[in-house]
Amino acid sequence: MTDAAAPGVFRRSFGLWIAQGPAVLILAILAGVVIGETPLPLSTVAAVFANRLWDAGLILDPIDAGIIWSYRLPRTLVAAGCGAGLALSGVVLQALVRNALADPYLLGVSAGAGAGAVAVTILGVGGGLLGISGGAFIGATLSFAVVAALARAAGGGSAQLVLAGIAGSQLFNALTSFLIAKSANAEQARGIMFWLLGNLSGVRWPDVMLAAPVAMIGFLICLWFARAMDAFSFGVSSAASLGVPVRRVQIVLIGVVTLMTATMVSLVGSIGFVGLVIPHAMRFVVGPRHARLVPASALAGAVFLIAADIASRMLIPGQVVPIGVVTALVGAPGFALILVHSRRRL
Amino acid sequence: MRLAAKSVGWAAGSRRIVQEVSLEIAPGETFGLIGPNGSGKSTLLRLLAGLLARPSGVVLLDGDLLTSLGRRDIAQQIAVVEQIAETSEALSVLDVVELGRTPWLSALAPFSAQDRVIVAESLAAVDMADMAGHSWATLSGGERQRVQIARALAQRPRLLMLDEPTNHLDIHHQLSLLRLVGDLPVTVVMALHDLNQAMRCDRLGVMEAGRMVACGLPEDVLTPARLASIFRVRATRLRDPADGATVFRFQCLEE
Repeated sequence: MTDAAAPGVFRRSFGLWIAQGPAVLILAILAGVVIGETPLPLSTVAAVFANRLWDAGLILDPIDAGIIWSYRLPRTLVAAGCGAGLALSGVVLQALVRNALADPYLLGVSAGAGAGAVAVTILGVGGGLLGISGGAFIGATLSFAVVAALARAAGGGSAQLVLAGIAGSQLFNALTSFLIAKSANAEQARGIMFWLLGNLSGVRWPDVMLAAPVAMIGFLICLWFARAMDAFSFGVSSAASLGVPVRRVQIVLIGVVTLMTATMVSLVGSIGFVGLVIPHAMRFVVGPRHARLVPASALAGAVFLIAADIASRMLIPGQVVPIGVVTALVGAPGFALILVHSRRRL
Repeated sequence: MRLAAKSVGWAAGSRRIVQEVSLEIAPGETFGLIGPNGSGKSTLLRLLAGLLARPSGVVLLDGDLLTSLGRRDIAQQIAVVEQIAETSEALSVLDVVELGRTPWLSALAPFSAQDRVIVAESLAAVDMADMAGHSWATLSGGERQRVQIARALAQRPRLLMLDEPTNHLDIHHQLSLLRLVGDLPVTVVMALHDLNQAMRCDRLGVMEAGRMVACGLPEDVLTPARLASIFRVRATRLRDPADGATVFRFQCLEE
């Protein structure tokens, strides 16, 4: 009884929640811009926005203006896009695979993206035409193809997919380590390790122009398929008998997940636990229906990663902690909670 | 809804599960599939609903090839209740029944007041209206079965396919379900284990080792010789003095 009643309480307030969503996101972005080693007052932030967006011509310290506009704002926006994208990827994979443990990290997509990015950076694969993002995207697609093929050969169940994902992750992580050990000098190796743990330091406006549209398109496609994802609750065959063109939906959604994960990993490195923990946390808040789960997870993922980025900048004065470390420090206990809860539910 | 199958079959690898089944089901008919465990009843149902990949033979729905219809078109006509329905999602009873509206909804046709009415009626039809807010995970096997049937009813199908729908149900709900299914103005194809319940169908098809070995009126199909050879039971026909209906009493035949 309590199980049934608890989500209901939250569900009734969902309309309010949705209305507040954009406001919460804007507040989080403002926090990401204001908070930093040099705290900058909101008035300065407002002045920078006025100058940039409406040519207000207000007199400002150019260093403050630079920190806000060229450094913190793009960084925060990319954090939001990545958080939303990774959380959405988790929602989609958990729905399609019907396994609570599915996330882009576990299914090898992140590891593949990392290996692809490293192959481009160190080996110069693609002769400079690909770029880090292109390499990450190809790596992500390749690793998911390997994982999917392996799972299919193993019998095609969701447990097989998770096991295949573990094998694929190990393979591509080993490939990454091998490339680093073989070809990188100490300086490159350190830079790459730092990048792999997740790092938003180098993020600039062109990265926003990539992360924001990808997250937005991914969000809209996930929302479009919300009902189809609901139909997967009782499995693939049940989805088909409810009129869902299963194969087409799987291809589109997994394509979107690969695109989102590859883009995000190529920009900021592989950030774990967001795709796993955020969707589960949101299930407790808004329930399992995807029409609510999709927007709630996108929002929570965005806000969570902005907060994690702030923490990564502020935790140790004068030093940036890799954001992947922060998300794992929060995510691992969160994951433990999910494990305990899922045991109780069975 | 007229359903016709022409020499349909399906194989899992090299193992033929169903082969060369042809049958025709008239609109409004209640057609029962009987047969021992592993005789291919469930597979035949899934073949008729177009849920299996690479089938042989053809299935026609009102004269249209099933394979020429989209999944959505099929789901607006055929609802399927499979034997096993499991989910790890924390869905409520209402959530599950609302899934039945999926084939009628799209981004441009969202869930409306009319859909809400259909869902409520479907829940009431299986006696589950009071439990709409309950969590699926807390339901008993019989309650889950009734909720899945409500989900199928919410699809507003013209053809209902049920795989052993009385499984897990207590005797009251078995009988009320069969009455409900019999009263529905739709064509019904269902796999059944209880031969006394099968007697209430308009026609029966008997499956054995993947083939349909008999098809016709229940009293013609369920002969003592066939019951002995296929089901390995000795059947005695008894007459219920209350209403004169025929019931079977079975005894196990030793090998």
